[in-house]
Amino acid sequence: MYHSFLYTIVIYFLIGQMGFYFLARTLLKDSQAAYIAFLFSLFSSTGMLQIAQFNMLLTYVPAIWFFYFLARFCQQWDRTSWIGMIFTLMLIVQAYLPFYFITVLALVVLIFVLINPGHSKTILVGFFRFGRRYAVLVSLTIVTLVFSLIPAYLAYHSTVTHEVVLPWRQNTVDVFTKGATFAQYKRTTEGGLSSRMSLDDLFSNLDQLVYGNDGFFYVSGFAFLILLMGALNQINRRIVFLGLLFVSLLILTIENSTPVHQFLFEHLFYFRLFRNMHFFLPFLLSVFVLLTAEQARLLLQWPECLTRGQRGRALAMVILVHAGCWMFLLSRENIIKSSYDTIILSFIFCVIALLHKPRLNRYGQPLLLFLCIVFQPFHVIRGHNQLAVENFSPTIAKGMSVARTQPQFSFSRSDFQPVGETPNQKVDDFYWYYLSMTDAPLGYMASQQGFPTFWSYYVFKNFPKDVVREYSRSKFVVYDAVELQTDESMEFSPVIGALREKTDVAFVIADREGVKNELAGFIRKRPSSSTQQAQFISAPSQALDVRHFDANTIRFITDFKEEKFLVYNDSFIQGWVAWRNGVRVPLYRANVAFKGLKLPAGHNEIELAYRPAAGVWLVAMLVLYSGVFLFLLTEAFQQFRRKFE
Amino acid sequence: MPWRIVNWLIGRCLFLYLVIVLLLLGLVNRHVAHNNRMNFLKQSEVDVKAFALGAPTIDPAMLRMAIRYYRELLRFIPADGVIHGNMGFCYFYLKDYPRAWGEYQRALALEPQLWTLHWDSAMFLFQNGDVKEAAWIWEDYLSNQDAARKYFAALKDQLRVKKKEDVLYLVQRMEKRFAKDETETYIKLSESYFSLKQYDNAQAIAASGLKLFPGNRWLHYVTGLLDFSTGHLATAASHFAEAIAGNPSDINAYYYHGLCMHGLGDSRQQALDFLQVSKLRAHGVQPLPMPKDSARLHFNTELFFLRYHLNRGK
Repeated sequence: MYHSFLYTIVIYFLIGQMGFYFLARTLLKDSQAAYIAFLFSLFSSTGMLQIAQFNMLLTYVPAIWFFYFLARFCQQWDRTSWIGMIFTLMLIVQAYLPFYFITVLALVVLIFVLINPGHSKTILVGFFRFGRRYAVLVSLTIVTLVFSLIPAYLAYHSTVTHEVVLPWRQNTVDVFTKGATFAQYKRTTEGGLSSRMSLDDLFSNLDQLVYGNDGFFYVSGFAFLILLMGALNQINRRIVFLGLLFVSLLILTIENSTPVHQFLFEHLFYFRLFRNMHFFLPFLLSVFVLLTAEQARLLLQWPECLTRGQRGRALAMVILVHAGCWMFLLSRENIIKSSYDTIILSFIFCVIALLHKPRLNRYGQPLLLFLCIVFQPFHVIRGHNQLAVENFSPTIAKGMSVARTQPQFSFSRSDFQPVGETPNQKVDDFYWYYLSMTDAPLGYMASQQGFPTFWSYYVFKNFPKDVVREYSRSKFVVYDAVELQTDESMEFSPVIGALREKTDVAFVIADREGVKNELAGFIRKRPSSSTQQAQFISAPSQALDVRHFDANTIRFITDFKEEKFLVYNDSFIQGWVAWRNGVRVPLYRANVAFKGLKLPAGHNEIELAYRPAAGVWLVAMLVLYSGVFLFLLTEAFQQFRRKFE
Repeated sequence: MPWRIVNWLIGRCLFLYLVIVLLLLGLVNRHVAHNNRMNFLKQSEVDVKAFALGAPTIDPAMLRMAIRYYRELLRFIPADGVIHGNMGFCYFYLKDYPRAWGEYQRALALEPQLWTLHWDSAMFLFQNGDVKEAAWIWEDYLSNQDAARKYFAALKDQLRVKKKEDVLYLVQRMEKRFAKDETETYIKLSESYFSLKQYDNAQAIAASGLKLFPGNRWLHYVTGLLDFSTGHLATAASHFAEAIAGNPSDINAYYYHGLCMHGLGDSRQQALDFLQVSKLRAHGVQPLPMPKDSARLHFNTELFFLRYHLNRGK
């Protein structure tokens, strides 16, 4: 399982790199520059970051393809590019937080309009023309795009309506009121790039890049040489665009080190919804690489445009740049040898490929470029890989040894306690426990991670720990009496008292009028039940036995002599439904946070299942996406065949 | 002419680079950026400290990161021996011995009262084969015991005067470590004299160590080895027996005790000792390394924190 996951993300990453090559070719309009960009990107820290933190990959890959389709669309105004754009947008809005992409897109548009106001107008007109010409296609694809927003909207909605909470986003005071928005600015600044970026980080200790560090900027040293040599190149709009885009992204990535990020946090609503600004890093690297490739493209024109006199001056500059870099590296500590080798290779490349006429042959130049770009990264990536192997996470190693992939049911929860010494080790212990696919342990809230349901988290945080642990030990509790409460009139002290004493009364959150008929028998029993104890079921019996269990379904049979109210101590959340003997019956929120339902006397077959209303949409969209994907594949194949013929 | 140059420059990429650099210089709050960086680098100190306290391995990247942290710290506190000492520790385990030695020397030049660093310097020399120099520093270290105790007492007094009793535990921790070092100094010093073939000195040091710490099994073991190598088998056997009493799984002590018994003609006891050795081996018991043989040097943070507490509110 773990290996297939790794293969998948590596293949997905390579698909992203392929997209980056196409993007570079479309933007720079030069195959050699695109080849340079591809190599720089492939052998930069983009891969190291995204394999270690694959959330970046989920946004980055479709985003790169989106920008490729966008650039192509603005040049060709074709349907394939439009569909590609919509398809990649659908992936972006569903894969992970889309805010990184939205920000990059906004910056691209803003800077492009600033630099090319005339061209921007033409593009805008082009969009309208395309919309008029292919109105049906555009309408259909936009409707599809809107559909694809549904899961993201529902997820956001569940935080706004307090169905779930996000404890790791807030401190405990705000967690029950603030939803998904970060209440404090400080929480959004953990992990910025300013803490990891200095000259030392860029050039020293490159053989010691720690695996799992998801925020470092590394590009082959040859890129810096190209940028320095290109300093005297004639400036063009493309360079200005890429340069400004780079600096804008950099300013965002270093978070609180500039006032910009805090300003956006305070004034632009969606900046309150995401943190981890270092997730912009793959974009930042890509822009940097494109800038370098554009400079390389201009440098590769030297042989054609330099006169004899200029060639002498260019040679002097090449010597100056290389000697300067050599001296700079000498002044730093722990510079790897391949950094110096890259300077030598780069010097050879400049003398042979840039200053020598005629040009190198069609194989010589790409080969020399390959060596210049890849020589240092080879050393760096090998060191990174070695460190990754040496420091293989024990949690992952343990997780890989788990053979079970289906959750196991038990009537009682285990008394598992983490043994780790530090808080991180304790969390690791819990992860390991969860990987074993057994029930959540007593207390059931391992850490501040994930999206726990509002009421479960409330109970976990506010009820006495001993009461919660003891009460939740058994999954099933059977009651003879019920007390009705509403969200507005809910009082916790009688509930805590009843849970502690195990009194034979369940507290159900429901409207009295609405459930009058269904629960009338239980409500009447209330006065005589305070001394009786509820029945905690800790093993299968004739009265209750589980027939099927998985993450989203549980089926069990019951056979009680009298009618009972059953509380299943599993978090209640909208979307769970109940069937009794094949007939849909109401499922209540009981004892503040759990699922409860009525059991008539005699034999019953009960099924509880998670069937959110949006589930149908999800299936429909899956079919739709598959169709679009197949269409794109067919289109691409046909284009390829036409070209080939 | 200057305008032509300016015009020419504006049309070049260099101009864009300058704009970017100026923009960043204008926008970046270097104080905040530096704080972020320090907080990030400081994480490495946790790993390095855990390693110094006995964790089996450490990622070299953490040691390098810690060096970067201390280097940054030295920009603010340039004359701090503790920081130099800790840098020396990191360099030592990165096997960059010249730099490690340089840092230790710098630390001691700044603060000669850093007793643990004297010990580390000696250990450093011992490990690098300069046993004579190491023995000299250890001798010096032993002669400074009173000064060290006075230094710790003065620190405690200062804390009491400033009503900082809550951090007294830091001095106690330092004292505890100092006491452990003192025992180990006797062991290492006698070991040094032994390898320098100064057997009389070796025996004298071991004997003084035993007077001070009669229950220390390592000192018994070392004294036993010295006696054994000089042919005093009966006294050697008694020291090995004391070492075994201190640690009933001490394979080496059983082995040498068996050899002594062989020399003394007690073949029954010899057989019993060797049988014990084979039993312990069968149970997977490994011979214990001599203390500090794994060259775990000191990593100082207590004094650093103490200074912080003492200077706060000045």
